[in-house]
Amino acid sequence: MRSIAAIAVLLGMFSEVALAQTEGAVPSGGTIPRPDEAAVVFQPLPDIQIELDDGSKPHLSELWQQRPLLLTLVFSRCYGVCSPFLKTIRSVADDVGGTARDYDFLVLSFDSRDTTDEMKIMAETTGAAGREGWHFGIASEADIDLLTKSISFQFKWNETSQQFDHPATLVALSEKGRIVRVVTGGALSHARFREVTSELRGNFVPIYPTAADVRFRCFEFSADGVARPSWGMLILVLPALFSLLITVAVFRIVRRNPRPTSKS
Amino acid sequence: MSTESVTTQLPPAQEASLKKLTLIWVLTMLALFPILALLGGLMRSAQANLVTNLPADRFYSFMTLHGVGMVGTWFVAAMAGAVFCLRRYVAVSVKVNWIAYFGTLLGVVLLLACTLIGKYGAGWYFLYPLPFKAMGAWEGWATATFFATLGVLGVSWTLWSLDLVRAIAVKYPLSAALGWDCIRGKKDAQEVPPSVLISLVATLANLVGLVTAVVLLVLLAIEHLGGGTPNDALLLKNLTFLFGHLLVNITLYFGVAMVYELLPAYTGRAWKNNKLIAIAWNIVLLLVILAYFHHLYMDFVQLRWMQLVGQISSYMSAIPAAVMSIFGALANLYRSKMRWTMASSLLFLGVLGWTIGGIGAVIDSTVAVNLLFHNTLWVPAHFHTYFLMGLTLMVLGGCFHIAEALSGEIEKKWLSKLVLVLMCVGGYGFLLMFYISGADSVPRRYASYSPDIAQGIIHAKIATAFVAVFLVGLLIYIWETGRRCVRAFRAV
Repeated sequence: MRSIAAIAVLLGMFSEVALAQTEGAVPSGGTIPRPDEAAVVFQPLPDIQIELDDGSKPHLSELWQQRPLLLTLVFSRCYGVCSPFLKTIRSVADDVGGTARDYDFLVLSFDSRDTTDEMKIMAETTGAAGREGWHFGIASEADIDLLTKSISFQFKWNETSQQFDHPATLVALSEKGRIVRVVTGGALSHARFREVTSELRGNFVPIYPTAADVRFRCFEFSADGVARPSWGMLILVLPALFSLLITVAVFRIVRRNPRPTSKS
Repeated sequence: MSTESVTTQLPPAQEASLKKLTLIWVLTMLALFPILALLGGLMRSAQANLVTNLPADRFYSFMTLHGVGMVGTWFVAAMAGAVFCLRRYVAVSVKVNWIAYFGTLLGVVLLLACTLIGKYGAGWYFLYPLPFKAMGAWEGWATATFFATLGVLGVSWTLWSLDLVRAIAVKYPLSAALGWDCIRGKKDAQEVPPSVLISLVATLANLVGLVTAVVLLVLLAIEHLGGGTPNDALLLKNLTFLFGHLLVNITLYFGVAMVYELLPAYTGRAWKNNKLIAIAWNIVLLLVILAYFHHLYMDFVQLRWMQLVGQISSYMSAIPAAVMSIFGALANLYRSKMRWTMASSLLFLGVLGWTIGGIGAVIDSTVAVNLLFHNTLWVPAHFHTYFLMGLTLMVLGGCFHIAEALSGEIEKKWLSKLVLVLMCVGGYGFLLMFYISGADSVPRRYASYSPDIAQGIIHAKIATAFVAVFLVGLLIYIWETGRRCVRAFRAV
């Protein structure tokens, strides 16, 4: 009985850990699929024209040719993930370093109602206003359509909440305007950000998870390729331990209460 | 008119019931094996362009049915045969054995439905997330039915395995049953026949595999019923191959347990347990679980030490099990007055096939070789060798022994020789084409071959002819064994 209780507690712990590990659910509704990184990686981004909060109207190529670019798509009226996600990015980038030296950020609105003034307010609330290497801007509806399709970013107006359903997404672009990485999910970890920026610097990152929220990984890999065992490894060991316990239990129970056998 | 005179641990009524059930298992195997073999032949014919109207989706559903069906058929046949032999020493529950039979039957029906009607074609290994990415080749219900099949079979076989553990536990303490007393040289140790030791090792490994399958199914269920958060593909591949690798290996071990039990009846020499056998099978119990890593050499995210453990365990697990059993069988045979019959010849040829296939498997478990061979027909070559010409022949030998013993009908020598020649020529010819194709870089799991790998078409054509030869031998065997089973069934 004690071993069964121990197993139950162990399984309970696992399920809690699994739920805790589930990071970055789709922020404003669960029906919108996330961009498929594998489908778009190494593809070129369309060189659309944008309007920045400083009044300039550059093409995207003018930005990415200067430095690799980290692009995120938001809308200023968002009550959900947009502002927290931007704050997370700013905070993680501050910790990791390299903004305006190794890469720039472009925060682009996909809502055609947004203006550069509204994006400026968003920059202020995020704490990124006036910082070097941070750009906030808008683009025409047609160009946004072109851009979002190229990274398989989907968004949908929700009448009930009067909000767009959309995934939190960060797209890393090389100096040639090609998609290097697409990171989705509201929770951006330092390890993931280091991987992305390391790749933008031209380093080869051999292994990284392709989806943000996966249950019970076998290993967690850091940007420098170091792996440490994770909960999945424990699951691999469980069947052997469980079978051993059962066998010992069967032998103990049966040997304690022997029954006579008959012969034919 | 049974000629069998063994003392068993079961009361007469249960003994009769177990005999009937064993005969039913044999008849079921005799019905399933030729159908599944024909499917294999059909797939080779399609690769040979001899059958041109087999669409790819149908090919893969046949491949799935052939793979799962064969592994399942031989597992139940080997375990039923081993249980029949073990009744001399331990009293299994006949009721649980019947439950296992009907559970298996239900599993077979579900498997036929999802593959033949639902066209489920993700292969026996159902590699995540392929079952859920059918791209129109099959529908969701077919995937659900496939996993229901695994669930039903898993529950039935777990009960069956637990009952065997219980039956052994009634007679022997764990330290005796696993040969630890023998290894320690305990003087008053209870003598445990090798077939009991091997069956316990196989059953324990089987429980690990079946519990692994349960964990796998639970993780998939959580994903699909609990919000859709994806599982870790690497974890699921590890679990899938831990389960599959163990199931295939323990099936072989049950076949070997039959050889240990039945071969002495033909050589006239006892094959007793000793320290070496006990040490060997204890090592096997540990290493067979770790050796599955060799299925994941292509997965570069798997850590390097795990790949090394895979290679070392594969090498080391082959030594105690195969070498001890092969040398044991040869020693038992050497200068004995061996009675060469259909049953004893098949048992001996089975050990031979296991050896040849085992060598192929050890070669393939070498990381450097696997990098070149992994996706070629070398892989089906080696696993068909130890399965078709190894385990299958062992079990066919065991089944013929049972049918002959329970019916009392003596074999016709010339017919037995004909069966053996046809099955060996057909079987090894068929396998040789796989090996040649593998060496020639012909990829595996291709429904048809493009002109740049046209050599695969020629090999498949020759293989198809050999399959036909094997099937002729098999049909004669089925007739001979089947009618003995029916006769024995009436007599029991």
